[in-house]
Amino acid sequence: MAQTLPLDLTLVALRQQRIAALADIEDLVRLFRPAILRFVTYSVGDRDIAESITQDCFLVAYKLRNRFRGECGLKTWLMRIALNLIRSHTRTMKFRFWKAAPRIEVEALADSLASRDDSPEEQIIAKEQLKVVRQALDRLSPRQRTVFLMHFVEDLDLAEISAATGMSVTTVKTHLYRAVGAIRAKLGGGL
Amino acid sequence: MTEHLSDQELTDHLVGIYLERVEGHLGSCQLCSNELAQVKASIGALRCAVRGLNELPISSGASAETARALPLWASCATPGWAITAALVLCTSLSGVFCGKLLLVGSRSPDAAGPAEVASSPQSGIERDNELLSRIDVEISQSVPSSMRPLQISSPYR
Repeated sequence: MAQTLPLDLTLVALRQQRIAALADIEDLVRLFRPAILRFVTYSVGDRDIAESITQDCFLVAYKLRNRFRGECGLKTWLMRIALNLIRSHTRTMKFRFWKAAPRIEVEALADSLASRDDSPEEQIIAKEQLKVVRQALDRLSPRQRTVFLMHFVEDLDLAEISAATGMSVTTVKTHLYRAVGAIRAKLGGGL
Repeated sequence: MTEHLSDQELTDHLVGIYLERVEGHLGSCQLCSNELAQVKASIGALRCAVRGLNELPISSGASAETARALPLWASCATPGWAITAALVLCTSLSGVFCGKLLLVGSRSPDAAGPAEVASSPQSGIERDNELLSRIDVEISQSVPSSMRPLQISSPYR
């Protein structure tokens, strides 16, 4: 019991720190807006809608800040809000998750590749790789793609993805296996 | 030779779960190592591309955000010359309107306007004289009693 007390105190302090960080909305936006925006952009496939959802995400976070208990990280919490907003948009049928009409094309994504210093050959290879992985992800379910993006692009670990999506850690892992398997198959692996 | 890596084992490695069998196999199997490198490169390309999305220029997104910050009238695409013309028109109209108000306010019920004076000079002069005499009366009445000329009305006299 005596050993668990410092751990509990650390947890309480961490939670309080997270809650305190939420008070400064400007800092919150500055720190997490890029991550939320790119996640939403890639999820809905439209930059304008993504901007709107991202703005709503921070608005909702600000309104619900009193309900945040600090049990998960701020990024995880914001991701959860963003995901709910995306689903909400999907339900209204105004936007189709992942299948929005003005979706981000592979070429547009390729243009954003941070490979400006790469040789032309390397850029072509990177674009081909991107094309393959994009095609593989297109065939996945929205949940599998969400989990894949959260982990491999936004660096959330399994527990954080579980908290953000409401799925169990085992389910999250299963979705990741399938996503990686799909990419592997597309790349010509599948040994 | 052991079996090649399954999707689960490959994913475990990618998410940072390093199992002894997997690591051992990767050390000895060129095929699996190459495949892992290929998967990593593809995911890396996607990661770079998605992360680079934030650096793409915003076309209508920024303008929409700005439009939300501006009042409705300011968000309209009105040409500059139209605004200038509207301002000039408003200024001139308000000048005319204020001028009329001043004239009406300064005019006494009995006083005639400049147009009336010009049309009948005689009646205008008469009215002016009448007004002046009324003013004399009002002024004389407003003189305090202490400043009025002394009158022989004292009972002690």
